Amino acid sequence: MNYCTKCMSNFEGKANKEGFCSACVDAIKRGKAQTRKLEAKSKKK
Amino acid sequence: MIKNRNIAADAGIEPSKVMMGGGALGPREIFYVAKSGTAEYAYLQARVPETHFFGTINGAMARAGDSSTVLVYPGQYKETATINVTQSNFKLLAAEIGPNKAMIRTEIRQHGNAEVPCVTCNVHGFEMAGFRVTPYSSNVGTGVLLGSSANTYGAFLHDNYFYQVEVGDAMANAITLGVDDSFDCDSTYIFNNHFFAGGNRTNGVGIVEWNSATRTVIEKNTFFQYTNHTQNYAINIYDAPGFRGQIYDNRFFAAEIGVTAKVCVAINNPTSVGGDSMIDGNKFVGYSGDDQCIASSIDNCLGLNYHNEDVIAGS
Repeated sequence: MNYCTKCMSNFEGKANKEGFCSACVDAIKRGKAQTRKLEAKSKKK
Repeated sequence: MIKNRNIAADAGIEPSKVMMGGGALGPREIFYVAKSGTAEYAYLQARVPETHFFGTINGAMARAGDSSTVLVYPGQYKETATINVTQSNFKLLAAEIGPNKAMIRTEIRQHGNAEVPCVTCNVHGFEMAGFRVTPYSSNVGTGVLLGSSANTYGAFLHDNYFYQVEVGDAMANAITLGVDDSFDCDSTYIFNNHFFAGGNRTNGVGIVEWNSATRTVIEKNTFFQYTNHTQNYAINIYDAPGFRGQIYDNRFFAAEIGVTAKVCVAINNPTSVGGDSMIDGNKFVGYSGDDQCIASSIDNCLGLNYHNEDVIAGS
């Protein structure tokens, strides 16, 4: 059992090099994609 | 501040005696939920009839009727679907509640699971206490969604810990009250919760998103905003009629490593709302100015609020 320092929960499986669980790694990816989307939208304006 | 406590013990609930005199399902029954593999699971399984003991919250919800209680023992609950409260005057309670215990003991989690609200409710008299709520991290993720398809009166959310994982622009919000220009959350009472949220949140939704909600009271909560973004709001009040809210004795803290004065907003209130609300006794720490503490034109409903120990003046 590992402990994720991002979502502060125990989890089973592999942590990334920062110690994050896969749920957090995926959510960070979604956050970055959303940032790119918003930046593209604001540039269009 | 309320002390950590065990609801079942305080109420003198003895699982083996709960069903005495029972038989047919009736009002005010108690249903138990525990995580398989825990000591509580084994204890309850041996003492509670299987009609009233479950391994998932949704399993208990399917059985519970109006005015009943679902008592949840410690563990992380990743339900496959939203916990949808359809029972009037229903209580969803963690067996152990309190500021510290809500942080680590009994978690309702969709982060990394299904992209649905953790809990929804469209009926009257719902009470929820003692949980850590970790919503799915996305722009539509939310912890508790009230009044999305019907008017919802008198929800009472207290002693919970809402944790929105800091993931940039995919940050979820904690509580959503009503939907814009539609159903009304009347007399919701949000008391003694701790909110921790980090992220950019550039789509203008608050940690508490106050859409159509009349007479809501937000009292004695702590909002920890880990962000330095202008459109990150702790409480975002939509431009709705019938606001009549009370926001008092809360603490708002803005934080970002290396930034002294943060530009995120604690209470955001569109201009056409105001004049019939009380915003009093709140304390704000770490914000870049008064406008970041209480934004927009609510001068006529201000009370005595403090920003880093100075009284906030209307503008």
